Amino acid sequence: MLVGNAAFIPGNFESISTVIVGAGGSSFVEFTSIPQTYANLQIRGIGLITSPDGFTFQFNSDTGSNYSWHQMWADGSSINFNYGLTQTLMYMAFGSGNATSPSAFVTDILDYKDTNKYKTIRSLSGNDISGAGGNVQFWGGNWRSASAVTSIKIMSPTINQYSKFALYGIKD
Amino acid sequence: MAITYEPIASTTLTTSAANITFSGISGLYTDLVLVGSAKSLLSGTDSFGIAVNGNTGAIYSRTYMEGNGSTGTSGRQTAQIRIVSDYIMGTSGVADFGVYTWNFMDYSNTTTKKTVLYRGNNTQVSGGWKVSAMVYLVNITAAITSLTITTMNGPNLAIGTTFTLYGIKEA
Repeated sequence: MLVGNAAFIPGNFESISTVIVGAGGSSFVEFTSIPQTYANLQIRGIGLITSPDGFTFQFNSDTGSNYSWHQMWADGSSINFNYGLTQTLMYMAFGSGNATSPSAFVTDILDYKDTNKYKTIRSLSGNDISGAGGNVQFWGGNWRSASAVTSIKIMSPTINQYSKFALYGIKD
Repeated sequence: MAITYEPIASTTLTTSAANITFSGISGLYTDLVLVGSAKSLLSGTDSFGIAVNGNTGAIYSRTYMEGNGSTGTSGRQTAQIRIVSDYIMGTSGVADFGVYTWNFMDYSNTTTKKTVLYRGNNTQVSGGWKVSAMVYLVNITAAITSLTITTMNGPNLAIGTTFTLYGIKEA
């Protein structure tokens, strides 16, 4: 640090990793070896999918029936509700399916490294494709494990090129 | 480590104004987050309109859900002339300001159209209270370089209205 410069004060919201889907697409993206130095995690995602489908999450490669989720969603004509219990994955976003109008989600994983708690996840997501429809959703989810989250896998049948998923850590 | 969630600019009105503009937005970030604490000079409730890159053509569409404590509703509009976010506080309740957040996702990419996620809360004492979530499509592939915030019906944004624009960087 050069003399005379203002002190650098690092922020509490830090970028951990970003995945951009390449040519050919993929059925998943994964964040691994997540640092255990934050209080909460946030994933900000832009997903290009070509048929209506959800984005599902798994933690620490757990494929057991340890996930539950609840959803409130609206499509412009009605507000609807859905849920899943004792599932092998967790829905946290849904897209109407369009190659150029991205689905978006902001997902928070709170107290991700606390080994005294099951993990609570919340998400705001949506997708509007103008004359072809739209969908906005609130989600709440639960991973029934007291393990610290060290990896997160996000899946959808076809996640197209240019989709982008960014993982952030938030400090106390 | 570089700052990831960075304030770009902030405006607090000391006199009422027709609009607030953030221009010359750098393409350095991944997402933009616009946070507002705002009030209109319209009696009753009003709506925000946000023009992207000064564009007031029919390029905006939205899907929303909202509730007032007793009823939930959903709607869609296409071919709107701005990003329209409803139920900003009006003149009733001098100290009542609503809180609003827009997430402009992947705003600087030039490949895809732009998706915006919104949450708003209006707890106006005299009625018109709403909690809402919306998703917008801005039908452009150009990077977003300016945002102009106005009221859709009222004369002006009220004194004390604050908007702050943040940029979020990726790794």
